Amino acid sequence: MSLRSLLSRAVPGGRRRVVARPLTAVFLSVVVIAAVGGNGTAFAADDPPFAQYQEAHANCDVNHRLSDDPIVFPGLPGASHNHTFIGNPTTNANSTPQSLVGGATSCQDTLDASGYWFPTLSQNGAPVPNSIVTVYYKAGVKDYRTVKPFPAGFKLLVGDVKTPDAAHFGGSWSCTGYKGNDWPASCPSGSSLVVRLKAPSCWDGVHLDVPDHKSHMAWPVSGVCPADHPVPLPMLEIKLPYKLAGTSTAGLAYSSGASYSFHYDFMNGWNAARQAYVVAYCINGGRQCNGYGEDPKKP
Amino acid sequence: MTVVPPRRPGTGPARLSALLAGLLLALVPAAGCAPGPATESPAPALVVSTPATATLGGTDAAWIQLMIPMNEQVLKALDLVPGQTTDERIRDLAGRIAAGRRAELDDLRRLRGSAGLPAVNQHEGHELPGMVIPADLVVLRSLRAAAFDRAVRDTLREHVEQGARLADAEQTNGADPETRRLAERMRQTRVTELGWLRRTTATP
Repeated sequence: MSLRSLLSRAVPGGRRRVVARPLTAVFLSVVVIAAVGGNGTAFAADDPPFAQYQEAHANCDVNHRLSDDPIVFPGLPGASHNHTFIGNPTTNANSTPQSLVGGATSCQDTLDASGYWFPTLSQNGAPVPNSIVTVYYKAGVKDYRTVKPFPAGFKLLVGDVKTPDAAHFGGSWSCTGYKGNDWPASCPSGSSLVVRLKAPSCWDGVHLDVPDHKSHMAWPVSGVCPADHPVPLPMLEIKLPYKLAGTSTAGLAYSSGASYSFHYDFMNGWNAARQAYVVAYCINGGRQCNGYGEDPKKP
Repeated sequence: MTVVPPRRPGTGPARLSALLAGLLLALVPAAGCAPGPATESPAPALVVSTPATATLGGTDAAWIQLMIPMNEQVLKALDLVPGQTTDERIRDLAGRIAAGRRAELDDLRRLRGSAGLPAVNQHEGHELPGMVIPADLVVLRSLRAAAFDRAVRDTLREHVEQGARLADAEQTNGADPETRRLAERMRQTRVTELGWLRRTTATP
């Protein structure tokens, strides 16, 4: 069966629906203008009330390692460099968002059965243990009230395993007394080595995944989502602490290569209603929620 | 729940292409004829965005792009065999496996080309099961005679066993009929090769 022929038949019907949408938008705008008529500041959507924080924390323990990657190498066990997984304990090469939702999790929020994974860091051949990993859900746009939850079925790859050198690394490395784009030579005794990496937060509104697993998302421009990626979703930022055996970073290597090959994957396994609540309460509500979706300072 | 993107005037073309992609997503399961258990198989449709890769699911693309470097890398190990073994059976075994790998590479590269997949090795510099990595080659180059034979047999066994597993996974989870047919041929080849490997190991 030729897809091209199917497409050419399908387009005309689609075109009619596409034309209808702007008219709906215009109609809605008219209704909105009419409704707020007398108030000259009604369109000050650019000025959300000040809120120091607009975030929730997914705090999750490491629960398994596999040479699997259900986003980049779906259905092929052993087809990937080794990954360390947090969240859903079943995540493997055959996982789908549908297989994750409703499952168990190593995250504090028991309804976040998402899969999150990243390359495995070793030191002289032995995996370096992590303390609890935090995936922040923040507002990437200025108007934090407009952020929507991740849609069901959503997948995302953050960062680039092919980053050519530390200068091009989009995240940061730190330990006590150090912050930079590469591993320091050493960290003070007892200090964790931490990597952080943010994700673009503006969605094209359509694709749950794309061939490069990235370009359905884009960065905000001046705090606003661009026209081709108009939907603000939570801005993910991973904070991943490693407990070094000693103070030296000699012999560190990712399963994917150098420090700057660090990247991570997110497969949405949230209970949809729970994520909608967390996004509304914590991000849209201008709070700093802990891993249980609570802000003790702003209940 | 559904998330509805804000409707802005002036984004017609973007939305048209988005709608087209949506239609593609809806149509692919019918076109791809993927059987396989619904709960196990990853949705191939989500990976499809251009007509060039229309019948290829995520597993098909990933399998093709993994098997190419797997074959390329094992050939580097097999090429060492004639100069470093003293066992005629190992030399013969390596020659037969190498010929099969070269023929498979022709098929794999043709599939990659017709699918419009990029000719880059996504696995460069990564250590993964069954892949001969540069460190393995350093070790193999340092060995001779019986020690080399043992090491190269171990390397080949891991490579062949993992190749069989990956071919099984492609058969279970792949969507493209041609890619799945190639996977079936490559699985049979590896079953045969495992028999050869056992026979060369049987006598010291």
